[in-house]
Amino acid sequence: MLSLDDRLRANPAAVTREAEGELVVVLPEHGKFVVLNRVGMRVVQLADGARSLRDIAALIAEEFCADMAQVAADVLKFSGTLCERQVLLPVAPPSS
Amino acid sequence: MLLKFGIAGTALEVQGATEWLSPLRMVWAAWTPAAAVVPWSVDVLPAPDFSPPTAPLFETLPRCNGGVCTLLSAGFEGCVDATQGHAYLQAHPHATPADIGYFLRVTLAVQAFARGGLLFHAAGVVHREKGYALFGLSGSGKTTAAQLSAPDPVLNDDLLLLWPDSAGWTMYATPFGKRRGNVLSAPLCAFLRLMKASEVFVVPLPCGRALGELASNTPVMVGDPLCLPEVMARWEGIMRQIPVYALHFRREPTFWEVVDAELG
Repeated sequence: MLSLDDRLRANPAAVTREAEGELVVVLPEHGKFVVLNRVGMRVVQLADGARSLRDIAALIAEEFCADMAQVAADVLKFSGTLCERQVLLPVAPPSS
Repeated sequence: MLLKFGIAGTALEVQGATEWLSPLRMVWAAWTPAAAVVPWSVDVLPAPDFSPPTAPLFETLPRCNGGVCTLLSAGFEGCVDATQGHAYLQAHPHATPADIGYFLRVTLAVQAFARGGLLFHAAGVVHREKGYALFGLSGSGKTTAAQLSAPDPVLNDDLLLLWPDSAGWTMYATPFGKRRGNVLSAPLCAFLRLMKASEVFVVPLPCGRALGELASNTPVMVGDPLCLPEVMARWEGIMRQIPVYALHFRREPTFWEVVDAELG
């Protein structure tokens, strides 16, 4: 179960192409694909392993002039789906 | 014995045991390589020291990286190397001609990609002298749609070879599935992504979805992380020439009337 404090990064094995404002992500190991809209594409682009999901939600809420609470909920749910499909991978929290 | 096999710009010269290659040579007789096409050499070698196969080679997923694909499982060890233009399979004597045929299919997929074509998971129907590639993952209805297309020729109900030419792209019959008629190729007119539905209609497939669908139906090469960007770029090039539609169809042959009305 993800939380807004989690950090994710794009699966380095995934191959992506932009097509008419959408992002096509193909995972060679599985031969499966997902197509992401503009917001989904931003989530994947911003998931660099350093930003938390809260950071990503804040950036997206600002970029798309949307309600932060709603965006945070959507980013959390959407990121969970992308993790299940291995498009995004969890990053271990830094050891203190 | 020697088996020569090829489609369009592909050619394989396979050296191996008669009991493995003789049945393939009979079934694949229609696919003689063109004389001008340089073949890859393929060795199919018996390996009595291997443990016997526990499953058909078909169940072994090729592991590919940069055009070098390996297949490893009980009773089998194979490698296809596009950089060397060579492939080999060592197989326990209990291996069957079907196992060898599967290995040659993988080899053909790698060679086709290396030479500018693509092996494609689709049923090829020649309707009114135009080639339609009906595609979708297993269970999407390729075989059903091919059967419902009678008496139109079916190049193959599962795997086609796509090859570029001066006029665009041509789809070629392969021996890796069921066929109807003796037509061996047709100019590619459209891709139809099969969707089982209660109503019959055709709509353009959105670009991103089409690219993902086409790439994921590119056997062997979709699993090669180094080649996958080029696979997708090649599909993008094809999509600029050949339209991709979703064909919502039900189990009756009327869908061609809808396709004719929409696509001419």
